[in-house]
Amino acid sequence: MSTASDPPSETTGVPPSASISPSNTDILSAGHYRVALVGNPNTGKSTLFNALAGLNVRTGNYPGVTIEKKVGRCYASTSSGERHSIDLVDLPGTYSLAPRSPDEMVAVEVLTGDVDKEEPIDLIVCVVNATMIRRNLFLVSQLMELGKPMIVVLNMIDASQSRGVKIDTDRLAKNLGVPVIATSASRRIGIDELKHLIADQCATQNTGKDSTEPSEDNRIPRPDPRSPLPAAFAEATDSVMKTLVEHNVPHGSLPNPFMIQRALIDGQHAAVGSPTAETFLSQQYGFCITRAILDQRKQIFDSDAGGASVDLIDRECDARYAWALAQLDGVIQKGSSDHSGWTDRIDAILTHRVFGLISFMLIMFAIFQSIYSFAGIPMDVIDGLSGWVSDGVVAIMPPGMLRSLITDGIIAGVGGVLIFLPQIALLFLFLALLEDCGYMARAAFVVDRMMSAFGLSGKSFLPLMSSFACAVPGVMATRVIESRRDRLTTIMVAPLMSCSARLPVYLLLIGAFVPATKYLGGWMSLPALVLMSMYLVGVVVAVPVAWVLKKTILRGDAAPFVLELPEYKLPALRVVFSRVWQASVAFVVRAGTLIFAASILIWFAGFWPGDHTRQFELETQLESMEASDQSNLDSYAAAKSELNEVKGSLIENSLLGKAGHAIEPIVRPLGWDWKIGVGAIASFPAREVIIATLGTIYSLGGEEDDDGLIGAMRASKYPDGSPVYTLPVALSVMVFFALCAQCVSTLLVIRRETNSWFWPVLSFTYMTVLAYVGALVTFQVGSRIF
Amino acid sequence: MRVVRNSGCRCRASLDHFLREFSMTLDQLTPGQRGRILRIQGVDSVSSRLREMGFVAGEWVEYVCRAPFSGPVKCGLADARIAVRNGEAKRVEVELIA
Repeated sequence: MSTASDPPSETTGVPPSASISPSNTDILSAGHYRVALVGNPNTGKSTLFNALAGLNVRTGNYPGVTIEKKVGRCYASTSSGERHSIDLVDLPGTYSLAPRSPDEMVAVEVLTGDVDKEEPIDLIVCVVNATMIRRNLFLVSQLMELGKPMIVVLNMIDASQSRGVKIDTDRLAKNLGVPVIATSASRRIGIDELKHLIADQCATQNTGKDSTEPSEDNRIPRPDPRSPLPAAFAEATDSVMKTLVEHNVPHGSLPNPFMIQRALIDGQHAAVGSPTAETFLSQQYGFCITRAILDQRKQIFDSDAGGASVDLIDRECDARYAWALAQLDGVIQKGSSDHSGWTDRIDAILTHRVFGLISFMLIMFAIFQSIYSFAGIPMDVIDGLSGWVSDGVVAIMPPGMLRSLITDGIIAGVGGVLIFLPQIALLFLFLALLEDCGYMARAAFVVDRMMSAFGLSGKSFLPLMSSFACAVPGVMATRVIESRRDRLTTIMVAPLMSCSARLPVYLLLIGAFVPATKYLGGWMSLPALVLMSMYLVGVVVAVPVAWVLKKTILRGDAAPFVLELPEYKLPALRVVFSRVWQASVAFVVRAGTLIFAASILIWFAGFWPGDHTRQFELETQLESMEASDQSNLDSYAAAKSELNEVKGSLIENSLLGKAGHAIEPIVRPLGWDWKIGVGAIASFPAREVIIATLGTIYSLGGEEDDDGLIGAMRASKYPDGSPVYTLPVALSVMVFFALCAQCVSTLLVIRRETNSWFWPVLSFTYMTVLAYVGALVTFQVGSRIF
Repeated sequence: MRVVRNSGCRCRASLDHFLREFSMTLDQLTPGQRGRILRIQGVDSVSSRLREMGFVAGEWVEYVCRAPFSGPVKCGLADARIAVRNGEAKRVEVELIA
């Protein structure tokens, strides 16, 4: 365990006044530093982040941009025993610091100190996959050019050792000129040493900075001398910097030389609409820098006319890989088995052109089957609990408005939604497991051809897969897609993926109206199949939608697809647990705030206006009958049926009932009654509200029975005695919810990510139309078949 | 088929011509075949992404398999496994080594 909770020894003897430090909450630590965690994808960076910070993580946004900022706090002491608090900034995984997508741009700006100017990075921790050091040194060489103190962490050292590879970390540290430490974040090897090293490096850096700072301010920043690039690059960078000084840019606000160098190299071929170092610089310093960069780029070409390639990036990559090879001189001793065979052996099946597809479908089916079957027990517990609480409230409170608010509004509403916490947790558990063990990249590989058929790439797979949990992180995950058109198409279809908020709706209706027929000796059940097909509805509809978008407003060439397939590994339970935990907390908070407020509003609309005195009289009468246990059954039953009648007429005449009857003609063709119509309308802010709404309607309307909401829905009848819910009705409701954009959070996140109201309005409109048409077709066709 | 790169050739133009005639691109290999990367064609964001991912001249690359429905090519590059689409694989010029 970490030492975060241990009381620090040096606080003893500190006078009380000294402990009120102006800095902030860290009154117990000597210093406060910010450390950036950078690395290629698949280096175990998030596992390392978790091992260092535990659950002590804050998320937010960078000022002005919408990129998620993940900061973890840990405490570490130096070798001299001083205790420091360290803020770990987790940057998105990247292969290169050449900014090409919005989140790579933020990573670069954080590292150069152009974002969060008041909180500069004190130390860079570069996470390197110990099994592929040479490839990872590419990024290391770029990071070294930033001129910041740095530590290289050789993570997953256990995987490399198990192949018999020996790595001389001291020699590598000597070659690179920065500290190198070997860790295994998943086995928690070397974590405490890493913390010490971070604290030591931060502390020494700080003391060094204090003495030299005044003189440094007057110096013009120069490219880092350790750069492996040809001298022409550094000369050109210097020259651009000189132009800025000539244009009277104050020394304090000159850019990091790395930015200029990137602008020189990348400028040639920027994709339209994506951020580059050059656009960044010209925004900050105006046209003079654009011209200087153009001139100097020509200079590099001329100075090196005999060079091998016309492309500056080509020259950059050659120089960096040659440098990486030189750094590894004498560092790595190859073992007997130089390749881990079992990843390839598993891949022989999972990425096979036939078995790969079959296993992909089997894995997806297994997930839906287990979400459906495993969650039953904890669900019953929560259901029982909410019934017990409701009974308790009824027992201690006399009938009246307040009791009605608590039992009919809050418990029936919020409780009905909370029941689905186990499923949400399970869904996130499976997604986290698949991602952490390395299968997600294989899934993207297997489905890429199918995605490309409708204009997307395997890169859209992860955002779309995340959208099965929730479209909000799914839309945010599209930032990894470089092509703007692909990104917008993915954003447009992401809300069609059935998110976890739809799951409760499906489960409720399937549980109530789909017979639990079993096939294949119990291995497959009809409810699970229906559940899976509801998920497929969204996917199947997304295909033509994406295709149409790519043929019309988002027309253009296919984007590149280069994807690393990481080695399989056992999932790190801490990472998986923390993802499930965060998702569950978010769900409960949502139920406690948004759904809570909606429940109260819906209850009020269902309660008012109306004279409830007769209802409360009857309830009092009934409860006293139950208590005395002597009255005859006939009068009890008579009172009970009168109560239900009174409740039913009250809700029909309430605000909710009137609104429902007003919209009934619109929802009638879908096979719905007014109650479902009201539920669907009420759930436009958030889908789960339909459960709260139906729970409240049936509870207020006196139709709640012992089986909870499912029982009430089964028993629900039209005045002529025919059941409200039939299988086609249930399917039509489910299809409507599968396709409709009933989520304010998603629409707002689309607005933020696209920076325009056009896209959220488009997705709301097309999804609502699709949902209505889909539900109409389902009911009209379904009611003719069944 | 075995292409031997004649490094002693002084005439660069004819060497380039020779390579263009006889070299293959990554997508033309068959499962299990290995090659050495000669160059990446073109100058744009695709070629720079490929280079950053390690597709640089002189590196070994092995064609492992192809995804269902003739999808992306999975190849081994240094110690990593990387999937590229056909369009990207066509940009990677290799000389076949058995």
